[in-house]
Amino acid sequence: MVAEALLAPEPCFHCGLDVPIGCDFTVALLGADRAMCCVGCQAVAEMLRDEGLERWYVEREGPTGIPAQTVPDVLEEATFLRLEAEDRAFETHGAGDRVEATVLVEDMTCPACAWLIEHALASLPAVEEARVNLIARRARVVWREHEGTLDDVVRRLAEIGFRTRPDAPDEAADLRAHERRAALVRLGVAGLATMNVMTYAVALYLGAADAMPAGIDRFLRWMCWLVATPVVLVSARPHFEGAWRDLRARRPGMDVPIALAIGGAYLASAIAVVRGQGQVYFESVCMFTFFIGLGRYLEHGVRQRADALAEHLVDAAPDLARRIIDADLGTEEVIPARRLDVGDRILVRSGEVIPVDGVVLSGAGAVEEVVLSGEPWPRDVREADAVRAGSVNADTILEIEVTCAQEDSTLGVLHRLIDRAQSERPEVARRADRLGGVFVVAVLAIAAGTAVAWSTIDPSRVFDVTLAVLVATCPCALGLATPTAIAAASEGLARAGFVLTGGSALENLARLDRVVFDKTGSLTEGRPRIEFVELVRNLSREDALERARALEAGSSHVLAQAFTPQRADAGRSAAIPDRRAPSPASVRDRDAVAGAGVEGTIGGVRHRLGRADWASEVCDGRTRPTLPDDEAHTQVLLADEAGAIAWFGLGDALRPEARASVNALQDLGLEVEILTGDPSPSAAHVAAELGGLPISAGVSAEGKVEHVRSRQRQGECVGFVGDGLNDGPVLRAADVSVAMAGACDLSRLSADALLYRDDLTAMPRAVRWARRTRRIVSQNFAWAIGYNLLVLPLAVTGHLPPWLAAAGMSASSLLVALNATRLRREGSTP
Amino acid sequence: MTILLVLIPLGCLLLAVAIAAFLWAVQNDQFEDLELEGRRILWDDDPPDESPARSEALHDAR
Repeated sequence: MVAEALLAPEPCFHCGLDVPIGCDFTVALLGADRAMCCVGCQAVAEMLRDEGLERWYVEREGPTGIPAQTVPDVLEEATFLRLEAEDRAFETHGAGDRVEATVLVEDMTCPACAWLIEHALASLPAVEEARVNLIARRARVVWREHEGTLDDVVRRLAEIGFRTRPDAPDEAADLRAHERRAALVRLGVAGLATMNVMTYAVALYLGAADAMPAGIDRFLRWMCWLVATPVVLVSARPHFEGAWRDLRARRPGMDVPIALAIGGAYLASAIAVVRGQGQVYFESVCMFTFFIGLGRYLEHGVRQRADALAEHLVDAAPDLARRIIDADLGTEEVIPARRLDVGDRILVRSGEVIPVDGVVLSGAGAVEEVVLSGEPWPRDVREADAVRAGSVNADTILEIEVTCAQEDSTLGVLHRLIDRAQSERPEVARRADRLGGVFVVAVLAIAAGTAVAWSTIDPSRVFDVTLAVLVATCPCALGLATPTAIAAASEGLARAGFVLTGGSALENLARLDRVVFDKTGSLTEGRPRIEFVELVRNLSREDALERARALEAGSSHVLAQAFTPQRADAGRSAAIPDRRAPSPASVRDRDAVAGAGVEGTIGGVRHRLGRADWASEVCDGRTRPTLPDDEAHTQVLLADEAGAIAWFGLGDALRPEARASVNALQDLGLEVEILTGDPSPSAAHVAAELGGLPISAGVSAEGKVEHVRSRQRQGECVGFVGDGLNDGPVLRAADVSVAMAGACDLSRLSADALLYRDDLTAMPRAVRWARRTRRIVSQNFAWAIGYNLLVLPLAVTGHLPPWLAAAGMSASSLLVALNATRLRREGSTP
Repeated sequence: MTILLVLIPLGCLLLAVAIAAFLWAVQNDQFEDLELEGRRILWDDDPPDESPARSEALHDAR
């Protein structure tokens, strides 16, 4: 018999994931047969083609990376939405029988998705209008009540592969939207007014030289005052409020000199207009306000995008629970977790997050509580033990009685996580804040000194010169230098699949010397695959595979995943059985024996799949085949009453992009090594495949921490990439810890950063990005400090008129903000 | 020169109109999504429900 390699690494045309072995789903698209990875993707692709929406594949920016949803999930989501609708009544009724609702569409990433959603919804007979907002990831749908329901909309979106959630009224989001609008209004008012005031001001400058009639001259000054007033009252208001806050808190901030300059210049000019003599500075006031507003608006926008992405990540936590309706009949329903009541009984499958606090009723297994306690090892639980929301069921199915409503349990966990991610301000930003504070005090002191000095030199110019000093040396650019750069880089990185959750990750990434990979789940798929099938009996390979799949269907054991033809890890979607395999129903008396395998009756014959000695007992050890000599794979035996059928070699395949990523990291001058707890020779095999990386195999969790610490003692900055599940301590010990998104929902947030799309190439890109961020922050600092030091002597000696000071300061801030926005795109230089 | 006494207030009136128009645009979500709207103009085909002949043809083909 021949050991056959079964890996066919062809990407699915729809979602871009590998097409699993033994799958044959093709769809004729764009003039060729395209391979699909699962029924879901196939259905979506066929639907798009038949609806004439094939052009999406041309317009989009790349495969989705997320397999299309499977049918049972669609039903679950639709149920979920209807329940939410009952709860929250988020539909609004308009004229006639028109109903309007907004749904949040997940996984919508590019304009092509928006195109697809609008066209797919418009083709529903009941829908009158569908409009997508790409930035907010929301679709607003208007439909006729008597012809359809929101369920139709949700189902339609699910058909084309988009998951939806009702757009729950979110106070934080409303507040942000309100703030953004207010900022835009302030900016617009300042901009429009500035244009007008500048024309009057130019006329005044020229008119002064050409001896303009005194009446016109005075008239223009009054007009300047009129137009500048809304700018000061509306656009500059946040600066006054900020300055007042700062003064009351006795903490000098950036707003103090800004408010002093704007308020002082405005009042002095107004007095000059009334008295009919003296200089007016209205144009400087307007321009200064406008440019500061522009800088802040840019910063705000960049930061908001970064926040929205982080929020999306936390949103991804599961919100559904399986409630048992009737234990005897085995019926269950899927409902939103927050509708669970105390006393309800729920089922939690292996790998799922426990949605509420509760007590185990039946089932014995282990739960992981990394998120809650930081304890990396699974805790054994049995009947009557308490389990907590946010922990992950690591083992078998658990039946749990709810003891605490969701609001009181999970939400607490989520809030802690969000708070953690947002409260940690990067060290470099804190430094910039402190420096900014010192600078403000210095500016105020210098301005006061200048005023005193000029009152003896030339009392008529005291105000003029002091104003120029205040404006010219305002450390606005300094204040913008770091936050804009960090926000822009965070957003760019998040879009590249690298999401920062810890405050100082970006800074540490830039000075990384060494990257340590945990083998399981980071360099390899972390998921067993069938690498070869060796037939013992004269039976077709497909037949053997089908029987094995049927036996393992529904099993939650780790190795069972190898027999599931779908990629179940990327979405929330549960794996569904291959169409062609015998359905799980045809296997009777299925039984899983812990530590041994599964058995069941197929067509009246008892089958076993599992450890060799246990599996061959089914045929009384009549045929006891010898184990193929291969240490790199885990071997399981399939046998029935007549004897052994086949060996399956299960291995953990290397990620396709692992090699390129490791090489890219080495090109950046980083040391790369592997540290794994797995003592088997397969780890060495992986290291050799990656070009002979240094490897330490069979290292305990304490050993890993010690290893990382010893490298740090040698002065190295160490990054650790793991699956984030059982690496808790070492993730904390490393300077930068990166977790793969494939890990369970919440636990992934215990790392500083997250590879969101499970794509290792994001790691070298992130390092490059972080280095570029560091460089741009230094440039910004150098410019901001250099410029201020340069203009200070000019302003103090009275060689800089206030309007020029305002223009220069604003240009400087703008330059810094624009320089930082370069970080939103990936640079080509290392 | 005295014409300025008329023209400049007129300019201010126009400024007020411009600011009002801008406020209206902001309140009506005209600035909510600056990325997609630029691309929308490139989607030249009609929504499927406006071309029943085409979708019927597709239906028959199926």
